[in-house]
Amino acid sequence: MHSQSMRSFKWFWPWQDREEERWLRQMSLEGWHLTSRSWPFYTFVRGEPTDYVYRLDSSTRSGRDLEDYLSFFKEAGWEYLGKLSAWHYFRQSVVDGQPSEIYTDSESKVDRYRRLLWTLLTPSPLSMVVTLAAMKKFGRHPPWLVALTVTIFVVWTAYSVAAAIMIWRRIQEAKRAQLA
Amino acid sequence: MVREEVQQYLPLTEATYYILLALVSPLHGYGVMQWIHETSRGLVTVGAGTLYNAFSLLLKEGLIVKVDEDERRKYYRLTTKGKQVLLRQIERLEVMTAAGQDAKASLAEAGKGDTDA
Repeated sequence: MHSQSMRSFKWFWPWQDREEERWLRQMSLEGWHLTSRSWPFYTFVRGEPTDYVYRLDSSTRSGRDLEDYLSFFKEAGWEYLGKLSAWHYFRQSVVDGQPSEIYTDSESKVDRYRRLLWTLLTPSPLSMVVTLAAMKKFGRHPPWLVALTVTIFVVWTAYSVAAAIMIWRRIQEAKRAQLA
Repeated sequence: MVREEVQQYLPLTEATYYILLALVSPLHGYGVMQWIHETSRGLVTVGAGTLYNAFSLLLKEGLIVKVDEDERRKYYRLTTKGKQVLLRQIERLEVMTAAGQDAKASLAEAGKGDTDA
């Protein structure tokens, strides 16, 4: 028997992680379990309705460090779904109605958003410089190409500024919960 | 050990304090999570991400060390430096608790029939 799957369109910005986690949990409660995501599409497989809690993390580790980090989460009962966007996706079954958190103090909650910000903003200045350098090297360009490049840069810059503001807000929220 | 070297880590966060307590004898990561939950009578829960980052930092600073490893798990324990930091933290907490006990007594006394108005 072939397992039934479904592709679903849903738009979440990277800083809407809490909303996304809630939506994925709701989908699992309805019997649709996340298998992959290629923005802005989510792929679900049909199964028994299960109370799964989903958690998104922003680790920047790679290689052996990444393996170490993933095996640590596995040991703690988290199933790894992959790095499906700017985030790593984890899930586990909810025991006695209490969904587990992966970050439990405000310091590490703040760090999680700082790493996300870093992941989102690092590529932009570098690739802009590389593109401009390449264009300069190859001399004259048709006006449409120049216009296209400028448009991409403007949109990208606007996105980066919006991301920085929204994630900064999330950081402030996480800090507010901190008294120590 | 130089006193300042220990002092720079104090006060510990609640999570770090419990992690160091758990590693007085060798234990693996998941064991630390369970131990903390039980020992704190459910008051403190340390998530996998918080614990992993704390472990990375404590290893880097030489407060804990990996003592054993099998195919599934890694075991960690306090170093001498880690023990000294933990002892200093316990002393700080004793002072805090003593001060709290005094306040608790007078709060109970003054609390009879007073309001915030």
